[in-house]
Amino acid sequence: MNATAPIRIPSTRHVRSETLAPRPRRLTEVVTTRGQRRARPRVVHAVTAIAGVLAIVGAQLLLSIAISGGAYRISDLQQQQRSLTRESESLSEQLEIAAATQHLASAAASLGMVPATATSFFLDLATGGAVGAPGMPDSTGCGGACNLVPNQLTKSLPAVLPADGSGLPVGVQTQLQPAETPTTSLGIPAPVTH
Amino acid sequence: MRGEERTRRTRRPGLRFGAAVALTLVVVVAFAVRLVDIQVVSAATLTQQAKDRRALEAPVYGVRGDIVDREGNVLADSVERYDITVSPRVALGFTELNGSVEQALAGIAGVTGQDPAALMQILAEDPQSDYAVLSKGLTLEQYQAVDALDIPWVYAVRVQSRTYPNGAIAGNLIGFLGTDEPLAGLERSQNACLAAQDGVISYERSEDGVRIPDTEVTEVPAVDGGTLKLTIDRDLQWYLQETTAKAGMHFGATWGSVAVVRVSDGAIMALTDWPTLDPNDFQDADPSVTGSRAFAIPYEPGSIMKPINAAIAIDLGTVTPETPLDAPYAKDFGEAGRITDATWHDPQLTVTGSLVESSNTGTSDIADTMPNEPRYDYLQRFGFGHGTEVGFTGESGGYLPELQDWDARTRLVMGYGQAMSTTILQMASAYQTIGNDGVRMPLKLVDSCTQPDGTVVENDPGEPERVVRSETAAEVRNMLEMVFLHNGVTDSLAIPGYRLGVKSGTAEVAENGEYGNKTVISYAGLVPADRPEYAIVISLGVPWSAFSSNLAPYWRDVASQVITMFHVQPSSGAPAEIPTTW
Repeated sequence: MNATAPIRIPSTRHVRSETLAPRPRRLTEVVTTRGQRRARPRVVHAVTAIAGVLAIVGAQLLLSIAISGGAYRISDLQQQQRSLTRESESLSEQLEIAAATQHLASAAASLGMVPATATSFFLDLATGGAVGAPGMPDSTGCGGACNLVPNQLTKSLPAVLPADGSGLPVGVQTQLQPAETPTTSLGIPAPVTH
Repeated sequence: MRGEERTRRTRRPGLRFGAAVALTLVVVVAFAVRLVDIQVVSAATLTQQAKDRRALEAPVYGVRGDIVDREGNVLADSVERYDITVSPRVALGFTELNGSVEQALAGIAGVTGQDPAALMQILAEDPQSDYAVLSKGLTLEQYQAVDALDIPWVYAVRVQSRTYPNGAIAGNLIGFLGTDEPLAGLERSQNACLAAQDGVISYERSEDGVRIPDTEVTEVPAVDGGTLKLTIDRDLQWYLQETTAKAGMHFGATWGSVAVVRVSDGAIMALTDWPTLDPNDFQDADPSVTGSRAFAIPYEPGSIMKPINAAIAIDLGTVTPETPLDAPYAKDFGEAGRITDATWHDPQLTVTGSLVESSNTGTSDIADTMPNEPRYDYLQRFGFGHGTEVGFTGESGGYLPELQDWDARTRLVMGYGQAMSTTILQMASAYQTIGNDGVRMPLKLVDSCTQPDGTVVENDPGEPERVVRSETAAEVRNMLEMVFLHNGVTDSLAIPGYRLGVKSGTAEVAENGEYGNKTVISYAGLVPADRPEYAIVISLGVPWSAFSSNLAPYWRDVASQVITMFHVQPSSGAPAEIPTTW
């Protein structure tokens, strides 16, 4: 470095004064203060900031994946709920049809049950006898199986068991054998009690 | 040169700075204006545009309400069904995948029970079409079976449908739905309770069709229909429909009906029609049975009207149950002409005796004692000549001639149920009035409507109305018991333990203005007679036997069933005897 070379200072005012009044060169050393040194940017800050940004971006990505994963799961579960609701409605529909009076009547008839000709009995305390409300003898002879009150829906149900109980489990079949029905002194048939 | 340039540039630094600031300001203002425009001025439009682009609207269907009996047994039920639709154009181009079209159609036919050739015909009808329906109304199981066939070119469309799990039980009352609207019965008259309102939802979805969470917006909520609860008892209704059918077939009749009305509140417990209608199958039904004959077609009631005639006369004070009548087998009533009875009997009958012997001449004597105006008023208050409070689809009010049309004969024969007509319910209602100490309760078939939110709206059919005095009603009940005890068919009617009040009726059916040999036979009565709980009427149209006494066992069968089902307590005591002759 040439000792006489003018020092370039980027201020026109200084340039002017320098040309007017040159001064002897003074050796100066720029020393940073502790405060300045402390304020200087450090690598660790940069790393922290970048890591932070990356972490945020990463977390956002994961959250977004989780949300859309959840959306698929909700959608799946809703679908499942809908199909289960449908299934339950379909089953209760079948239950209602199976519980239809026509079906019960024809099932009862096929098990050998007949409509009662006396619909109720009362004990008469005055005479010690019994009185009954007579119903109608079954003129059709088919019990409830005549289908006089049609039901299109019960037609699709599986056929009820034959009257001899042959379709029943073995244990139940024996119970279907007609029991001896003794007659009481009043002339009213009574079942055997154990 | 160079120095000059530098000097010029360096001399005007403020201008440069100002330009930068101005430019920035312009940009900021431009952004601000645009921001206000987007956020405030055209916000609504833009939001709508955005939604239109992303959001889809879908209908949500409200479910039509059920019809249930008085115990909640379902009589009409809304269910989901599936229509299998297809694009013939796509289907016929898909011969390579998953087997041939024929195989696929055979698979569908195997599930639905259709003919594969018929399905092929549907496709072939318009091969360029994009829409055809292969099969309608599949159940969930059938739909799942079709779905399992994995045919890529069929689409299932969910549709609402209606089933009637109990078939023809109360079928004539319930009615049925057409494609667009209810066509008959309660389905029609109670549509306001049952009908659902469809709604609309909108939602946004991603490109692959997944609904974006939290984007579903209900634009119009769907409202389900209400549950309609009837006063009808399903099992009693079934039993009585069987009884009506048995009686109808036994007598070779063309129609039959039974009505059971609860005396205390006018609730219709059962109302049968024969022939019956199974609403599941209404398309194949005879159009003449698709309504309720019991409501729609009145008939001349005949002798079951006589106790009502006597009740009016007793309440007017023109006769008492013991008043002697001159009631020979045949009698000339002058201007009114000659009136005859069906059977021979002692001509010296009391008013009670005229009921026991079912004497037309005696009844005409009673009718003759009454002035027209008050009698007309009584008949109307008993419920004749106008429809009941039920307001059933196609209900008839019967025929009660206007006062000015009452000629000399009309006013006599109306006493025994000619020259006027009623429905079976109007007769049951009149007997209910006698049973309820002279107070007629408005009839009701609908108990309540339960809205989807649980609010129960009770059916209010109107106010009770006193028709005859309590003493009059008691006297008429006593007379009805005399009829039961002394009319000759006591054994066929008797229900041990219960006092009964019953009247039979054989009405000749007028054809072309003449009474011929066709008849309607009826029984009407109260159980038990000492403190009536139910009014029961049975009528059969045009049987081979004109003797109503043949119907007695059927009336007893109905009464026994009612007693058993509703736990009617046995009677005590015995009726006071009223002389039938003098």
